[in-house]
Amino acid sequence: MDWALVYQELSAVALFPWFFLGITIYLAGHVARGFRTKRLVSRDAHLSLLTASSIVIAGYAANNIIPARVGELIRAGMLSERTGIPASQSLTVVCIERILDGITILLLCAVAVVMTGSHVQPFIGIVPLIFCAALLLLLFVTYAPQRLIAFISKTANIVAPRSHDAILRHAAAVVNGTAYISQPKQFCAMGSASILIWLCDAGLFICIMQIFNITLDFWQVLLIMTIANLGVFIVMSPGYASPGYIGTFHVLVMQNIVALGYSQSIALACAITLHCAIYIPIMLWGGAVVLWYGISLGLKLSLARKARPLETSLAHIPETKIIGKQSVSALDEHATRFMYRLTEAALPLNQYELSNPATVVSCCADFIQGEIRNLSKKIQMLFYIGMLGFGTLVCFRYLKLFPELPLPVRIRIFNWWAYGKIPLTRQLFKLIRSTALLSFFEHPDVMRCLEEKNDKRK
Amino acid sequence: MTAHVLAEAGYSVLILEEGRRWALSDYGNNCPEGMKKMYRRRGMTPIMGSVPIGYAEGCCYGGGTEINSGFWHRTPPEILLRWKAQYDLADSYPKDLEPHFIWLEKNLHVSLHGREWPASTRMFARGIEAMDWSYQEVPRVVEGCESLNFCPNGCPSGAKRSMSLSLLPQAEKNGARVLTNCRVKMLIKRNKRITGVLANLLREDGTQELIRIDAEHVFVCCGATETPSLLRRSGIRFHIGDSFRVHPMLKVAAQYNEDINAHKSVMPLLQVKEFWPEISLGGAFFANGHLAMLLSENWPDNNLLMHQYTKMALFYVAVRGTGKGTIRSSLTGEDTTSIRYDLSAEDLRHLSKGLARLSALLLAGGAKTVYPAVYAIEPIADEISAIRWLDQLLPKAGISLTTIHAFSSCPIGERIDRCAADSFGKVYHFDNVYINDGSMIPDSPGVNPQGTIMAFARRNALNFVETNK
Repeated sequence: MDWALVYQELSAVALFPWFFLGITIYLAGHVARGFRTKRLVSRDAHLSLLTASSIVIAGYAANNIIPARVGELIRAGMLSERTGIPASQSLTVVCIERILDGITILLLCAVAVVMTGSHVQPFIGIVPLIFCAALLLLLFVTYAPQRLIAFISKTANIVAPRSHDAILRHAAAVVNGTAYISQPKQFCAMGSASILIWLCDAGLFICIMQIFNITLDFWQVLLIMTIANLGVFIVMSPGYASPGYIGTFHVLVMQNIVALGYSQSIALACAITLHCAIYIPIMLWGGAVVLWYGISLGLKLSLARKARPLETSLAHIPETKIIGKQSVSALDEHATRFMYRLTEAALPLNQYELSNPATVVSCCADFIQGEIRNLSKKIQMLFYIGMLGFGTLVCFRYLKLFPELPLPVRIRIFNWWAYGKIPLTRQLFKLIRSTALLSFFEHPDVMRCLEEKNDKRK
Repeated sequence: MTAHVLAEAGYSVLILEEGRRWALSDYGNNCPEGMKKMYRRRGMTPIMGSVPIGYAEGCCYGGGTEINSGFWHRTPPEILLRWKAQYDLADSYPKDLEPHFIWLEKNLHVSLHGREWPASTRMFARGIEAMDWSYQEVPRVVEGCESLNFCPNGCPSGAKRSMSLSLLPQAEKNGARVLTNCRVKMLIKRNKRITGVLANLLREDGTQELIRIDAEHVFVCCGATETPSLLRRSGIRFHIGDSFRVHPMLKVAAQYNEDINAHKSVMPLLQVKEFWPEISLGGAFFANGHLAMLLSENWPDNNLLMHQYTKMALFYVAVRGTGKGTIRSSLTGEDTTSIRYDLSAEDLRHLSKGLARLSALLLAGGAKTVYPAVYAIEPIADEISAIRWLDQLLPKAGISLTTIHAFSSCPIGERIDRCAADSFGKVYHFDNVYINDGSMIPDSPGVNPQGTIMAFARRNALNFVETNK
């Protein structure tokens, strides 16, 4: 390595505009991380985006100066202190974030490998195994929480009966930590946020490479970024563990740039600049956060203790022991647009002179949506699969989404599916037609109309 | 019932109720509102199987008695003898249960309507008399019915002596404490004993807590579907949830020439005894929404009938289910229960015959046309069309069934090879856990089961008090 050349490359660096643009994009990624943290704890605490981002950055800053990812523990501790959620829950939230990050990087890496036709360093091989195992565990805790609680309760009862409640309290906190992603839609949203976060990191790499006139296509940059991040993840190997990933990060970035035909000096200069772009803003922001946090910690802790008195039993039922808080999944009572349009097609609106038919339809649609959301998860899943099939077939047939179709067409389609000759479609639509008609004919406006018609007939 | 007996005997009783406690002023809503407030999963607990069956059960302080019709039957002696023969059910002869029925009938004010029958009942009676079949006006757990027609949504007048107005307040007076909004997740097991339960307690402020409650004895009375589900979730599976039974019910709408106004009166109060216990014919609750649901099987042809709702009434044919059913807790351990019941060939035959007889009866009583809840079958407008179902089977793919009577998922009896608990509800292989609700009934009773369940529950609770002195 010719260090003089490296120095020459570094001294010739023009920081404006790419360096600052890169930092801006990178920090935007951290704000996205903050948003993800905010959402993950949203069931139990209100956290501003600034505070959430600051907590994330403080964790990153700690990782920069302490090895073995101790920063993750500091981040969990701060999250717990700022939100009031138990430490086990905040640690779970941090674990979820890291698992999502790991899986996202692996996916992006796999895509980049396919697109560039490159091969990956063999040490990466263990990382997918670790993350896949972690993801399976996360899915189990998220989608079978009662099984986990039951298993831990049974085990604790045998192994450590005296600590049963304490152990279960932690298990309940872990379950609470995963509560937000228990809805598949929210799980997917968090996955999408993770992709956005890592694309921001790739944005930083692109900007810094522009400084050194390294012209790689997007997939090559993505590959370098993902390999560098997967590499620094491996803290178990002493050869790679270092505070701030100094050395590890540089070697990984440099090797990959050199492999694409650039000189070692340019590659190392680029790696050093990249590291500075990652290190400096994080240390500045993170340092400020830690300082501010340190000053307010003592006071906040004493206030928090006062604000949360420890209740161990219900006053009138002494045999009851409160183990811990549990997340409540509030049901969304409002119908989706698809359900509204479907309901509109199911109701005999033209037979009744309603003063405000839209309100009636809306009321019925909300009722149906609520009923569907109360079905057991298994039946709900079958129903949604059926509806997906229905929507897809309609889309193929009419080249439009069902809600976009005019009402007469929707009525025709609905009647064919709900009252046609195919038992399976009738069965699928039975739930909708039955609940739609039940709520429609029990609606006060419709009952009034019926009564008026009946009076006229007499 | 259990809490009442135990509290009276001086036990420290804690009742854990999953649903909410509603005041009388919260009752008497329309059907959608009633379902939201008082039904488990808002009434969305279908029974899966070869023919899916719509099933609903109460989930509030007072349970199913808040939303049922309050019809009261003593268990038919023949059924009791069958249970003795098949399950070796001890102390279950009619004479053994009689004191319990007498006590319950007195304390719950079980009585006949005592007023002029509403039009739908009169029409039904006319049909029965024309057919010359035996029937009875069914006594109900009601005192001074005002015919408000809110039975399935909570009786706002308080005439129905549901548990929230009768035995539960008495139990509370005797010291029983109640935790509502408290769903038990699992029983905590240690060797052959249950040391307590883990439950979720939903607070008024919307927060929820995981709590542990220690107990000397645990009575599981969560109903025919949730009792086995809870026991299975807790790792108690011996003959639990393997023999679920229901009374499959097919509803029909009858159209008359004159106004019946079924929406303004209590449901028909008579039941045909002629074909008991295999087939039962009677009147069903009427609401415009329920009528629309029934007619929706053939909606394009029938929708205009809604304009004549004042001339319509609803009736049912129910059969003593002989099919096999199972109850399973969900694989993920979540708070949902998989309910399955496969309609037997005998059930279908009885339903077809029942439809023939019910239709003939209604036509003889003055009905113009009968509309069964079966897809693509012609409305029944004459006796010949009705009678053909004596020999033909209803199409399985088109039949729409419902039920509110479920039981037998944890049968009791001395036959350990087929029962989950002994004759008095003590779960086999455990020292201190008991079943005391509809799930313990060994088999379909063929009549409305409230009387049977309560009589057995009282018998078992008193036996517990006696043996644990």
